[in-house]
Amino acid sequence: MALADLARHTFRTAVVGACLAAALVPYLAGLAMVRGLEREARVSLAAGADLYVTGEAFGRTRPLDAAMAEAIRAVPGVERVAARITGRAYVGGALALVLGVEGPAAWPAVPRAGRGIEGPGEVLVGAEIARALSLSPRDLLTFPRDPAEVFTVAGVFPPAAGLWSRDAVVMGLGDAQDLFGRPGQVTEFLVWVRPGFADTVASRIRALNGIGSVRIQDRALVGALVEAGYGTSGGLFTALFWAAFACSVLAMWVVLGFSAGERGREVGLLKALGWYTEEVLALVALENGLSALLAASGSVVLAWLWVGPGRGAFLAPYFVRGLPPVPLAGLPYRFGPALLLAAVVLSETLVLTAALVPTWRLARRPPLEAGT
Amino acid sequence: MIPVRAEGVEKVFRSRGGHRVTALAGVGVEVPAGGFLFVTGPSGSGKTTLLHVLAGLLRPDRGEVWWGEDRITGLPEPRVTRLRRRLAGFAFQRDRYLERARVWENVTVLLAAQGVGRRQRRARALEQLGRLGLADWADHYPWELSGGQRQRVALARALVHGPGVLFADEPAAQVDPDTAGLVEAVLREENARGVTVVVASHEALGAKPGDRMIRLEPSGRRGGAAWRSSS
Repeated sequence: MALADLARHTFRTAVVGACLAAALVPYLAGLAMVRGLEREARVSLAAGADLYVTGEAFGRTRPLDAAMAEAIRAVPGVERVAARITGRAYVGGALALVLGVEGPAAWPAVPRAGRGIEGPGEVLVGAEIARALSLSPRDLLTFPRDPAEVFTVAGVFPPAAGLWSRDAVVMGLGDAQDLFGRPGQVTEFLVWVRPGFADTVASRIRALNGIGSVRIQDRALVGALVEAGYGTSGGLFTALFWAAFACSVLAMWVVLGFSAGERGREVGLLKALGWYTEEVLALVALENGLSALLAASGSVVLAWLWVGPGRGAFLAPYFVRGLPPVPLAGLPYRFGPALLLAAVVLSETLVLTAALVPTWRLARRPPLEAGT
Repeated sequence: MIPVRAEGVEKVFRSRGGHRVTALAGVGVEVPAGGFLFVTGPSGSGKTTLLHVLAGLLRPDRGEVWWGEDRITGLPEPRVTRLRRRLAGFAFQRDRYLERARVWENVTVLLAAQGVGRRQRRARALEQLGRLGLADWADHYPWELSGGQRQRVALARALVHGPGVLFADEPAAQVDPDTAGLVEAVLREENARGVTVVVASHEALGAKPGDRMIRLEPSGRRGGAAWRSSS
């Protein structure tokens, strides 16, 4: 009977569902993106180095002497060291992330169109950069800061290759040193150590002759920073969401208020015909519970369409600075069980509260007082 | 077979403008088990209000109502609902339907709550609608029916669960003489089975020897709702 009732009240069901979806869809889409980004960051972190060594002067980062790689390699407990340059440079009007890496072993292991870097003067470019400059493999590329140096595009990362790769230009370490005019210097060393040696190795690196003042971040610290970053962005989003959500709830309650007269007549009639209060409440709970479940399910589907096929249009730039309103590819997203449960619980709580409280008050009164 | 009795029933309605309208003032009535009572009087005399009070749909401001040994005016609302479900059927005069439910679904609303299966519900609805000449209208919606047809639907709904006492408010007010005869015949059939019948109507048309009658007068005439009864 609740199902039939639901079908009978199509307008009320549709309006309540629309109000709920208006509130839930952005919330679900946003938090799914936060969770997806967080997960991708964790995966990257797990695949990354144990220690990140950067130079420090006056509390700011400074380049390191590339030759220190050998000294670090000699520290007991160190398994591998990779030098890297991470910088920013304009290319064709877009600010690109320039990554100088030390050879094929340090190249990002992601799929790409074209081939890998085989020698000096070759680069891999991210999808957003390739789109902005209409680049494809074998095209030529120059940077405004050194127009004389011409690079050949060896490969292009696909949009789904990962968030970091979208505006990246990956090149050999020597090319990056030349591009930034810093021969023999790097911005960081990535250090892999034997299990349990991270603290010892970090201390020994700090004490190396000639390395100067350094900042060393281990995997746990980077993980905590990542978590805090996404936690903040998720928290801000949640705060903004609640403001919008309150408006939506008010709208929904107003709609339910408009139907209170009809509801009152129905409750009065059912009671007059001999329905018990608990039966009336059960019917209303079932009808509205189903309505809320439908709205929550619909909201999840819509949120998925937004962040999946819809590429998180107009929402993704909120989470990743610099993305265009409609990104070339969507951000990573994740609809975990907790998020789905939150959608259902929120939806059910709102609708059932709005429906059951007035019904319970009506149902306790003599039938004709409830229905008139 | 349920006797119905009321003593000193008073009911005052308060309008939004603060006016007090006395609908019933000191009304008493008694119908023995299996009896037939006409509540008559002109419009505005309080017939419908008295029926509502007798059926436990409205609480009087003063006075008492008994169904058999149960003083329903002293019972909490859930107990009254239980009794009404088990013992009573009420055919409303005004349109009181689930507008978006079909006629047969409206007739069996109470059976749905009692857990009766859909097929059986439909069969029982068709049985009652058939008695009242409405079997062909079972799958229509209430708003597709005339006023007189809707009143007969209300009567079918009041009878479908086999009540011990039937309250019918103007059951033949908007029907032609033939249909009024059909409605009366159904009421008499139920009464003959032992169902106590209380009917509100302008006039006690079709009254038979042994029927009881109470006539209400509008409150303005005598400074409050007045009543007269005869049997």
